[in-house]
Amino acid sequence: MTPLAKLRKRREEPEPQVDDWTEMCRDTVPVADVEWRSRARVAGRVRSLRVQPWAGVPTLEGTLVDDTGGISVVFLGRRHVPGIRPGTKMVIEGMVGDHAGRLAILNPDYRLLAVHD
Amino acid sequence: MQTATPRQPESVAPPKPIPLAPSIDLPERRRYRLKNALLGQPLHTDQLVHERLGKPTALAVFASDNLSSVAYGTEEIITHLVPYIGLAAFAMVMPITIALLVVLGFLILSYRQTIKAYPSAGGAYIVTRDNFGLLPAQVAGVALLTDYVLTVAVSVAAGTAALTSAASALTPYAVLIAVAFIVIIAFGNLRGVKESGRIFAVPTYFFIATMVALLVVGFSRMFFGHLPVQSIHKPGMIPAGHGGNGFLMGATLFVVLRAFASGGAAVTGVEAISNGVPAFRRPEWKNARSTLVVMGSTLGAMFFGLSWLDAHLHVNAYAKGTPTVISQIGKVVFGSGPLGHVLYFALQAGTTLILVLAANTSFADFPRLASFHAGDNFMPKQLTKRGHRLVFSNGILALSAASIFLVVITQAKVDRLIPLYAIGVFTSFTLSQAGMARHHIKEKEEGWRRGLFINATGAVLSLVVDVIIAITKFKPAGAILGAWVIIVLVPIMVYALTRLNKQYEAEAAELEGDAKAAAEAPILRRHVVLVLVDGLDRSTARAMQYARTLTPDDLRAVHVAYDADHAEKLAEEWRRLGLARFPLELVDCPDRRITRGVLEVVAEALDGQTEVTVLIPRREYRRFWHRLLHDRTADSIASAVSQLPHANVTFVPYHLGTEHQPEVHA
Repeated sequence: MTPLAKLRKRREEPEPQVDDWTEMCRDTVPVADVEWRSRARVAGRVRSLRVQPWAGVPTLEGTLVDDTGGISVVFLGRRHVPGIRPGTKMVIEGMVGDHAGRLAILNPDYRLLAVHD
Repeated sequence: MQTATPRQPESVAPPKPIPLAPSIDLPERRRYRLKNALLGQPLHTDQLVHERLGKPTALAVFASDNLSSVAYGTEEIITHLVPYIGLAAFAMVMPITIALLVVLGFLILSYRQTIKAYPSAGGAYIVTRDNFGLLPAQVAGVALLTDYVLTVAVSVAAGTAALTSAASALTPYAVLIAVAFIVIIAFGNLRGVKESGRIFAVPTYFFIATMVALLVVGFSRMFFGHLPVQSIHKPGMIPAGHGGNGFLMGATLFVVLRAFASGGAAVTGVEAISNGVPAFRRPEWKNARSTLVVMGSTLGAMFFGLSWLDAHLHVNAYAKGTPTVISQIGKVVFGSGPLGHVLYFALQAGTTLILVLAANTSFADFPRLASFHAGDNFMPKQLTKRGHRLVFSNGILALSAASIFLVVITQAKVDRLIPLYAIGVFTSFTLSQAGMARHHIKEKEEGWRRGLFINATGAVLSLVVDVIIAITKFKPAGAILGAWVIIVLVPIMVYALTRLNKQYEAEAAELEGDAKAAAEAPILRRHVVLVLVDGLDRSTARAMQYARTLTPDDLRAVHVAYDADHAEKLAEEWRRLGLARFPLELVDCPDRRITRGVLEVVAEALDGQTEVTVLIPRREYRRFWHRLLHDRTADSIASAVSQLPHANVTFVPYHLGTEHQPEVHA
């Protein structure tokens, strides 16, 4: 393949990140439509993340937001989930319960959008 | 109680009760120590005593502004006549002087009424406010304030001229000398020169004595000897015009009126006594009245005598303003003998001293008047504060700044300042005399008809003089500054003051409205404390330590993650913190607007039932340039957050460069 053809090919390839994200978001529901005590699959951005010091109960708690609202995401028994940082985009799935008076998904299945640096 | 405590060993005695320390030992700041060194120890509020003055001392204290006008009154008349009517000027000096003395006479009669009616404080501001309301009082007050500034400028400039007349080598430094005089006077007043008689008595009576000597010697030589008539064409003198054949009525009338208006500066300062009636010995108003009459007569006699001598001697003014007319007269009258020289220098010294003292009068009056304005919410509140030495320091500083500005732009030339002068004083005379007339009509006290006649005449006369000044000195030929400056400035300032007043009143109305109900409102149920954290350092540790003493319902550290790697590092450090016991919230901030990020977190915590306190660790720098090395993010966050209802900001200071050990692991 000539360098020019390589370049052309690369150009023709769609932006991988966006494509991945659209792909990942398939079958998700907006946060606003999530119902208590039912299973839900939502996609969004980690707006905030709570870091507990060693002394506390090991919990990683964050807020996942999309354009329609936000929901708490709680990983019990963990202080740190590799890859989950403020601003990370991810899709979570799990039973919707509550945590500190807010809708929350506890220990969800999660998929992170890879960050291409 | 006694039985419950376990037995103490014999050797341990219970601590002796000790008295409280007499004062709390806190180091003073360097600025304050410097202030103390410059101005002296702070005065105690109790030391605000009102010295009672006997009549002779009171005359010295209050008359300097008034009497000093003699030093330039005649000169101003001459300056405005000679260029137009030449030698005929000296025939006109006396009629104009007499006309001014008539005005002076009526002002004194009018102020005798004011002193009786307002023995507590009879300034134009108070009288006008009582009789016409706040807005006219602002006009009277502002007019008077501008004139106090001019009094300082004119007196200092004239004092400098008297000095340079005697020592002509100093002439190039006139502006510098004038500014130095103002600075010295301001400094003295900041230290709190009491209206103490001795300081004032010496120069005032010295001046009166030298003037008496001048007049006695002058008139004896005039009547029994020979006083040589001077040439009006010496080099440097103002050019003489030609009166022509007879008086050309229209133009000449204008010239004469302008000379009259300029000479009007000589009768200013009459109001000083009425401002200070409470300072007299009992019965205050009677003593004040007789002092006023003595002052007026002294001024009148000196002014009359000097003008007469000048009319006889034909002493012309110099274009540069120095040597002054009074100094030339002194030189001629006292002659060239050794005694004559001594008397001449005494006259110049006396003139300089009383002029500088006259400036000092304004330094007593301006701050007080400004404090009246401010007390009525028409000027910045700072002007009501008594400073370090119990004087209105801010008023003194404002007056010095304004008068230095004037002296510099006019190059300390009296004749450039005079056109601005006197219009304010006569405006306030007019208003206060009209106020007195109204007072008589309202009160109808004994002898009110006579009082009404006197004050009404005084008001009309002041108004006429005011109008003459405004017209003839509106814009002197060849000068930029003129009465128009004051005519433009006063309305603008009055407007500004009323705006200021509206603002103050609106603030007060808002703050005072339903204060009681607001104070009794129930408190909110929850309290959330957020500690803003940028990195884990000592200043943060100090804020965390403080936060834990607040025992809120929810306590969190908040970091706005403008940089993901930095946030990650901080999170890692936080996890390793053993005993901090509260979580760190990392907030995503894709657009790096930290303030916005904090605002969102706070807004989320606010739910109508929650008070949110945001703790911001703030580094305090020892030197101001240290602060310049850092941005002011903390301050901008604070001002943004505190705009949200029930969001409160507390700065937790950390002083850099001090031995400060925060107990992180308490």
